[in-house]
Amino acid sequence: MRTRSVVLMLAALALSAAHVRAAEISVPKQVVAGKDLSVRTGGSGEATLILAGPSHVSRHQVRLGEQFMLKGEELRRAGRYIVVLEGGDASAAFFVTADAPSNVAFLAQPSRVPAARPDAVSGTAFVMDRYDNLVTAPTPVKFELAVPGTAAETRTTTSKDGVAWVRMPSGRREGPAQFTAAIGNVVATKRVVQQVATEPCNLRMRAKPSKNGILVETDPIRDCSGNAVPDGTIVTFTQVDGNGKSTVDARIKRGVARAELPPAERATISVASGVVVGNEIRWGGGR
Amino acid sequence: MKRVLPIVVIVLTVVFVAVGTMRMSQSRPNTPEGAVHSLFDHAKARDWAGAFRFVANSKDVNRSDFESELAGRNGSLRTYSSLDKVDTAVLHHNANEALVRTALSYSSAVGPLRDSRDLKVVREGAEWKVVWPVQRQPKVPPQVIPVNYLRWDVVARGENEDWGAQNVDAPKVRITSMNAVEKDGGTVIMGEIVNEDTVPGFVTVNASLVGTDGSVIGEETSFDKMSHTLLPKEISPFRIDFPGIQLKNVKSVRMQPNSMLVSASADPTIGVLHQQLVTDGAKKVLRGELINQSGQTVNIPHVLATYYDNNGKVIWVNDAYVDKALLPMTPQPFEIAVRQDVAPNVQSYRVTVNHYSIARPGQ
Amino acid sequence: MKRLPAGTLRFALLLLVLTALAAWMFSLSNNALAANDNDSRVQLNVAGVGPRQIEDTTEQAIVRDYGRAWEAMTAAREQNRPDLLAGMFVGYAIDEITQAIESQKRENTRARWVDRGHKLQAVFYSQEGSALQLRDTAQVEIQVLDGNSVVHTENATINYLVLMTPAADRWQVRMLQAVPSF
Repeated sequence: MRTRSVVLMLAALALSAAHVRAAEISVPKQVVAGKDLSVRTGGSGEATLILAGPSHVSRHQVRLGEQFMLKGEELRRAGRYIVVLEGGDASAAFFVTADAPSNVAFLAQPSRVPAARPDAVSGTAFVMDRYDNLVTAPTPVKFELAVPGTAAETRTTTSKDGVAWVRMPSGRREGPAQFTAAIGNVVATKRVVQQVATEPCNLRMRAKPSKNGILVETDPIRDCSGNAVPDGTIVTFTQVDGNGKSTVDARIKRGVARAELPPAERATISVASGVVVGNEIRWGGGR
Repeated sequence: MKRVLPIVVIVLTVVFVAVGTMRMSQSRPNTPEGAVHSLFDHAKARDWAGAFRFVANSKDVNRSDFESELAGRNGSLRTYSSLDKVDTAVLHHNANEALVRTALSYSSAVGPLRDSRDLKVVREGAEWKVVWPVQRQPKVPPQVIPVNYLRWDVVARGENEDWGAQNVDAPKVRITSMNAVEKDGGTVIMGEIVNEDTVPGFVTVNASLVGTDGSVIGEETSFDKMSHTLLPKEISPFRIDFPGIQLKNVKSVRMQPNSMLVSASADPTIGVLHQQLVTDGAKKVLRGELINQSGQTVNIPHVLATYYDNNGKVIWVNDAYVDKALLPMTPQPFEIAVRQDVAPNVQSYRVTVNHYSIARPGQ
Repeated sequence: MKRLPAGTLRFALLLLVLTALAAWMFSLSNNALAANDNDSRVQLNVAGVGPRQIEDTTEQAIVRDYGRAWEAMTAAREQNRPDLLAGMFVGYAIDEITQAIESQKRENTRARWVDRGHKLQAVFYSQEGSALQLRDTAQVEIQVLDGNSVVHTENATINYLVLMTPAADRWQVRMLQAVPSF
């Protein structure tokens, strides 16, 4: 009996030497980024506490049985952290969650869009806290798109998993539209979406004799919303007469396009820009 | 033996040089065709003085104009090409004069350039000489032409911008028509593409042919049968050739237009005047005149022709390089041959001009 | 000497065997990494993603590039080499992991990660295709090493919110944030 007890004691000692899980450590399940965290330990003596997180590893000397405070500056990045008591073989895990929203990362597309197009502009906002952590709590985000001097188009959507997105129509007026995303008073970097004129509308020209032939000139070329079609846009003038066909790919300059066509007694003159066709002039009879 | 070989090489070299020089120095061509060949043989060797000796009306022809006409000027395509072949045929001939049809072929970076002239050749004593057509080189009068056309430059997104910052988007382009035909045992894809945007772009068109088994049997990109730099609302034809792939083996065609933003200038404007489809001998040609309406020389004009049937469908696209530069406000004729099998179906056509110029001052 | 009873001897032998077995298993756990270093399995579910649907080629690229990103990260943390992150991580994620590696070097303490697989759910794909958000349920084994001694080992299921953005020829991880739950 005594022999059996001795054997049992020796076995227990051997087991504990090979496979010890003693000491205690406890932490809250989660803490807000940047806030201090209280770590409770059990036992006595001194031990090394290792903190391993997504962006940070540190070591601290702690007195077992006493509370230890992990400073908030070590807990700025949201994610999963582990605290390990070295030697005591105790560990615990906790999460750091994002602080209050205070920043917005904003993507806007495209950089250039035709005016008066439905759902032409898209914006994506990522809600972040002051430590660049993604705020997963649903947060209303207000999107606003406007060319200075015109009424703004506004939409508000609630973020999910830190992301809010919107599609908005482009305004009727051409110009650099300011596109912003805001959370309360916090406004993200402004993006600029250049709204440009669309196809020419009511393309009209006039013709008159010139020194070397026939001078043709359009009225100021605008799209259907009244925006001036930009300079440099190609406008093709075509003249068909007894000598064949003549074409000139003129460029809009200061809002109008003009060209000089060869002289002709009778001709049919037409104008087009891209796939838009304008009026026709019969030169030399029934002008 | 050691000395014999170098001596033989030297002797042979001297002999070959002498023979070559003698051939070129043959100063008494005794046939009309011989006179024409002698003139162009010297021109081919860029011996302009030697070539000028075979001009009958040398008093009327400006030597400098003669040389410029054969060698090219103003950075034209002729300047960068070399005379490759000369074919002659006597049209008619009597004791003292003849008319010789001369077909010249120049080799250039863009392929062969062909020129055809009917040259009058006259007998002067014992030899024949060529009556060179007197062509006054047009002189552009001194003047100031303000160039205030728009120019676009591109500033792209920088490396240090935050990740949400946009970059400037490439221009939006759209293929407006596409037609697939079989020609000469191969498949040809052609059509038109428009720059729908408000900024210029460098545009290419890729096409993939999908076979009846669903696999890709050919992939090509447009090369020189289109204008690659398109200004806003500019339309260009395109033609992509797939030699050796028959249309019956093609189940479908995948088109992929690509565009990228480039710096560009709205200058120059080139008018295409008096375009006509005419019959020249057995063939149909599209002729007209190009006029450079800017103040700078256009060195290498490239003419693109698009042909439509009576439904407005693109039935052929071809091109031609003009080997003379376009001087400001100076008309320059051009001619493009039309395929014989296409010509009967052509209801209308459109000519556009691409151009390549040496960098302009201020660029 | 008095001979021990047979029953006692058998009992002692059994305890000895059990002790030896426990010690052997403990030593095995230290070497468990070598067997499964590169066994990274990524599964992606794209049902319900919006506002843009994920193309087949994009789906394949995401699976490939996310797996490679994790390989890069585990190697970088193991070897204290932040340069291994380049190309697979960008923005917030690369800054965060780089800082972790720098502090590892300072403290001579490492966190060794073994990737046991990922179940990805795509939750957001922007209209123009410039940002993709995923939920990742990751199975990982984490060891904390003090110098070369393992002081902690755990197998964990960790939920991550992942943000990926496209580069020239791949998708990069821009944000990798563990969350308590989805």
